[in-house]
Amino acid sequence: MGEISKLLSLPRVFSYLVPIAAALGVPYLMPTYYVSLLADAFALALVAMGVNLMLAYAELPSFGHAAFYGVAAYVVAMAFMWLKMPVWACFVLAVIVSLGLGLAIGSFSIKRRGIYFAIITLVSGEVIHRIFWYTRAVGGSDGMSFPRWFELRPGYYFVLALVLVACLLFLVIGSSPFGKALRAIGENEVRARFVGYNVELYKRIAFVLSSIFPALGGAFIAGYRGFVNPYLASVHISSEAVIATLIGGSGTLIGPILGSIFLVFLMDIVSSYWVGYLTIIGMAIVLVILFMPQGTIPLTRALVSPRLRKSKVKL
Amino acid sequence: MGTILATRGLTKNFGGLSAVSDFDLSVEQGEIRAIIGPNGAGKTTLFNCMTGFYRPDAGKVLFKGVDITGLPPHRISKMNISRTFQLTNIFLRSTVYENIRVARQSRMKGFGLFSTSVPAYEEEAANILRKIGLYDRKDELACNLSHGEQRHLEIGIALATSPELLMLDEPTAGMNPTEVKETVNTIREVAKTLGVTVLLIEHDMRVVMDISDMITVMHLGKKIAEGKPEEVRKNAEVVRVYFGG
Amino acid sequence: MLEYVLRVILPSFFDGLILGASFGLVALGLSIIFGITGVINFSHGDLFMLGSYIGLTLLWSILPNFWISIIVAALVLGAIGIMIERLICRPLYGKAPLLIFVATFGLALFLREAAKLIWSPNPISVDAPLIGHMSFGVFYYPIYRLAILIIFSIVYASVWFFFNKTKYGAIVRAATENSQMLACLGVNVSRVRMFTFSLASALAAVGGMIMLPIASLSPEAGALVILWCFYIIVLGGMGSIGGTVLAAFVIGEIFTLGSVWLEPREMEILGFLILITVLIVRPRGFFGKPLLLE
Repeated sequence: MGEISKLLSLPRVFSYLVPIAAALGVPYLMPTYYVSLLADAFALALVAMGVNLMLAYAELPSFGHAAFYGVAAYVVAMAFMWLKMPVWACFVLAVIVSLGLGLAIGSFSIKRRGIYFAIITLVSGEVIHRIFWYTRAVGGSDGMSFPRWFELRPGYYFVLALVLVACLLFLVIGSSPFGKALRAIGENEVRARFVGYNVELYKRIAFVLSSIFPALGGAFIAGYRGFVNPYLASVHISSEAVIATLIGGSGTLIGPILGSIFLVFLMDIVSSYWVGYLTIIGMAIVLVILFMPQGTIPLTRALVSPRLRKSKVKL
Repeated sequence: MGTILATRGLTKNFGGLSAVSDFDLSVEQGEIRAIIGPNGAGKTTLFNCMTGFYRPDAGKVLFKGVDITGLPPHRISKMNISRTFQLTNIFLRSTVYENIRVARQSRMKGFGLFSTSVPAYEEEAANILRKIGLYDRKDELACNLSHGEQRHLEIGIALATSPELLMLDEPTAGMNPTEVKETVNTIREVAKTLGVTVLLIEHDMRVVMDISDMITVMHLGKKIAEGKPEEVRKNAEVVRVYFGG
Repeated sequence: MLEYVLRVILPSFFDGLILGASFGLVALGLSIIFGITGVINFSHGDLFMLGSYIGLTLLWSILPNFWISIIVAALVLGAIGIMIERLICRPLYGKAPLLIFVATFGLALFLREAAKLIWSPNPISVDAPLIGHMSFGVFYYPIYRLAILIIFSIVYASVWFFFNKTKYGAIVRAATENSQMLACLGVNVSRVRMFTFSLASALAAVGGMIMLPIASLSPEAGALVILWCFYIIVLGGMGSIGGTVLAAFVIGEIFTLGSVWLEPREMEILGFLILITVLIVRPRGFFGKPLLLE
């Protein structure tokens, strides 16, 4: 854990504590509407972190990660309403089912790279979305409602805790020998093969691991809203996660989180001014890609903390 | 001493083209064998068939008597066969040290998800770096190395997995004379002190004559000559194939 | 038995051909664009939708008949395709494919939402320009649809002819294999790319316009179509034009014939199972390029 101890050095710790403290203080500083919005952003951030694990390490862009988000949410709803399971058990079950789904989808998606992988995962995600849409038993296009688990503020703190746990998990995976091998595979797959790595197996495991993050998010959002619908598994959410990761800067730990907050808040603000706001979002995406393909985080990084750039685990 | 690597009737076709044709090879343990031949002779294809990159259309590859034909590359690597590539194939965005370390790590049991990096690997990685002369550049990004240094690094990566058989595809390509000399010394030292069998594809005839115990000559996918360097040099067929006329 | 076939199966079969042909045109364009530029144009489905809306608007305002609208829509979309290629794709060639994918995703979002604003988000139905049915015993089928089958045949034949029998078509085909080499041979690759995008967009518009009287049109149609196209590409094999077209027809048939007996939910599951099976048994798709180590 040498890498971890390096990250726990004093100046680094300080640079984490500030945003964490800010996040903790949010419910006391902002109106409840924005607290709820931030909670939504954190839920998306969890999906984005899953995307980021595959993208930054294995160079595999998943456009279907919302499948895990949606499935976890529905599992929670079904387990809670029909099986009367306690909250913690619903969570665990949701994660387990997601892992299983990750294994299933990963088994065939992993055989292709790059954009083809993006397309396969996209199609898989959409299939899940549509299966929910057409299944009357789980409410079809209307979805299902059930009593909420959290009030606004406890819910916010819960998802914040989830995000912190997710960050820790991400760091552990990333700085472990597994993470390093994965990065080597993403960098030069042929070389990794010829050095002895079973590339397919590593990618599969990575994909399954990456499904944990959106699963946590999905389980949370179900309990937070008391409501699940097929949209949670749609390509819209998957794409939002990818875009958030790109905006925030993939290859970093906080990139997906910042990107998600930015995206969710941007969409909320612009939507209140104009019903056609998505045209602006669409155009904005195009313009950002054309003129700032590295995302915005290199800018913020340069401004805020240049010393973080040298870290091998890329904070 | 026995036969460490053998191929029997190895054949690989691409469309209508026969890249490797009914090829028999037999390499003794501890030998340094050079495979030479004009461009397009099928030498790299031969390597690719032997290391799991291609599945041969016919024939067998035997390593220490075990049939390894058609095994995937990572399995072949695990059997302690290493190779380098014609176009330098390293981890460009990683440091020199990390290139070697991650290669060494492939021998770790399990996936190392929740374990730490094994200190022994780090020690061994450092040793290899010293052996190939890149220790003082260990924190440099591999993309910043000169071409010759990168090819040295690739040899280092190949050595990191403690191979019994080292397959080098044009190791001295693009190197200046000093680098060539260093490479030759490294290969010789590795072969003699570590007992590694070396199979190399090479175009530089001085290197070939200097270092090889035996030479196999390939042309249009077939073996046309084989023997000690002095014999091969005088072989009329070989001369004809290289110089025409 | 024969009665059932004529009354139920044959019309569905023809509908499947129509569906397959329509999506096939879009997927074909997508495949060609990918082959030549390496770009997966996420907005291609929305070009299908846009072509339909533009054609329809022209039809309702200044154009005399439906068939002319198809041609005009194709021309307009051809021009739009050129703009997209120059403004968005060209600056991004050589950059990570993911970025172009996301950029075209942004464009798709823009086009879809713009369509909702310019026209309405609500579905529109259009009457067929040819009314009436044809019957043959129990077989009962709209004339318009029969006409479409003929039109699609002509379109596909023209496309095939273009690619296989004309010099420029050969150039385009060569560009899908190796555009660098082509540039060395003096071909203006940049112009080929522009033309390709233009042609693909025009074909999408044709596919869209023709389907107007059959299915209702809404701005969301583009999202649906691109999803079908992705499905087709996965099944047919990336980069294979023949595979794409074949997969389009296969999927069209499975969908329409399947709908006769299955509910939508079951269709989805069936579709997924087919997808997984094909990907596991033959990861390259019908005619795709072999993967490493296959």
